[in-house]
Amino acid sequence: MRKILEYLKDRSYCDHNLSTLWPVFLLLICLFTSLLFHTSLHAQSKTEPGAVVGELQSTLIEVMKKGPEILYSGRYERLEPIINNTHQIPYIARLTVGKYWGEMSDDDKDLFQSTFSKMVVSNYASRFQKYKGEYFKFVSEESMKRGMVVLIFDLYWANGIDSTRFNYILRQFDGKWKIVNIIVKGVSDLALKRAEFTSVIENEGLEKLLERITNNTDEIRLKHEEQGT
Amino acid sequence: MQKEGNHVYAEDFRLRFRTWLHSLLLIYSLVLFSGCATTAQTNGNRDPLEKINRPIHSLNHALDTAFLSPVVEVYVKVLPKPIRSGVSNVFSNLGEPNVIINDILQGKLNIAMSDTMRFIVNSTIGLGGILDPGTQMGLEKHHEDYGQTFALWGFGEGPYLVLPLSGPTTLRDLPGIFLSSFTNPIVYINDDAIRIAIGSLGTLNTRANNIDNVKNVDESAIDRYIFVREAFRSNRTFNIYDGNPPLEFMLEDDLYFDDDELIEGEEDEMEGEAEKENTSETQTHESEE
Repeated sequence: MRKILEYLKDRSYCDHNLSTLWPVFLLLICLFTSLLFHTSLHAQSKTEPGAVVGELQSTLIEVMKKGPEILYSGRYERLEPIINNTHQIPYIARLTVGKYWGEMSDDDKDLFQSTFSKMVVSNYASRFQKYKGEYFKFVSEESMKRGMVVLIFDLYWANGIDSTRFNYILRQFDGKWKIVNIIVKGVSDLALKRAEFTSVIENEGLEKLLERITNNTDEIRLKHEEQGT
Repeated sequence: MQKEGNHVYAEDFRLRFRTWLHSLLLIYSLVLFSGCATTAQTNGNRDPLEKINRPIHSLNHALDTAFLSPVVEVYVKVLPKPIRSGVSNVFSNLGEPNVIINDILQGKLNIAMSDTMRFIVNSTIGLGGILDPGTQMGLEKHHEDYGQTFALWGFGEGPYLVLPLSGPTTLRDLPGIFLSSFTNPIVYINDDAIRIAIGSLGTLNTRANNIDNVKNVDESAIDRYIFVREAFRSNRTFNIYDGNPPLEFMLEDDLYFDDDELIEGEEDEMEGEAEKENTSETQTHESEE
């Protein structure tokens, strides 16, 4: 550094002793590279949750566009791997039953998680069935406590005026960002399911909850098969 | 003569009803302002009237499925979308004075000005509200009501209520139903038949505007009563904050991070961290010794 200052004071130094400065340049290059690398990592960690949400949204738009052709079963097949990749379904499933998770046997836990997973995919496949010109517009990304990130999007409807606010809550699992909750117009999907599921378990038991979820998924499938949608 | 007698009787009944309604409102206001509403909420159970609400919810749903829903299906199929939009715009415009009053009560004077302009533009250029040139002129539609005003003034939500033939509300929102009727021009129509007909069209319009929402609830709900209750409450909070509630408000910590509900990876991490802490503590003790 002193050499650089001296160099700035006396440019003639450079002309005569350039060869002695190469370690300084090397050091500066290393510093610059590490700074650049650090910045890109930071930027990458910021955009990773965005990429996860982007993957989900682009697939939803794609599925809506193809919706009337591929029908419910096609939408379900296309969405299932994407939803499992972008959402942390086992974690969400666990939170939806609250304190009752601890009372469930391992078999019940596995059964509940797979039943819940089918319900989530079937709801997506049923709701996103037609494209009418909707598009998602990014609003902001905010870091929350305990490593959570909130991504805010507006889903604009065909007229381009009306919109619906979507808040995606993500957190990292084994270094990968995953969606753990979606809040639509202030209504938290996780809180809604948790209130419903715990109420059913409390009043009627886990078996009844599993039966209701299975019936719900079957009814959605049958409805679309009957309507040819 | 007979007709005149009936008219006098009807007018007398209307006056008596209004006096009764005003007395009821006064008692209700005293109850609400004395803090009963907040006590009911803070006692822990957010739905102390569930046993009464549930059967009413089921009755409303059964009546809707049997009577209103089939009529709405026909209404949506028969009437072209531009006509339905026109009807919807008219009712939306009739609700503007109520929005303007609540803008002022909430201290949102700029928005009150904008909504007043919107009301004038849509009532005149928009042919009595059939068209919506206000939106095209950048005068955005706002949704303010007495319930939101009371919330802003610091009143608690109070218990959740389901009204017969109406639907979900809360103790805090209840007076708004009556108060807003005073600024609704339809209430002042003297001809009962016309008033009832317009009121019915309004109900049909509201239900038609929510046709997809109701279908989504029917499709997604595992416990319909709980689903509607939670969605209603969350959406009210969303509206109270004008669509921008603080994120912390939406992220209930206990929902994500109950200590007894850690995921397996976290449990391992916690155990690892605890071991580290124990080791460092032991080392510190050893060095101290």
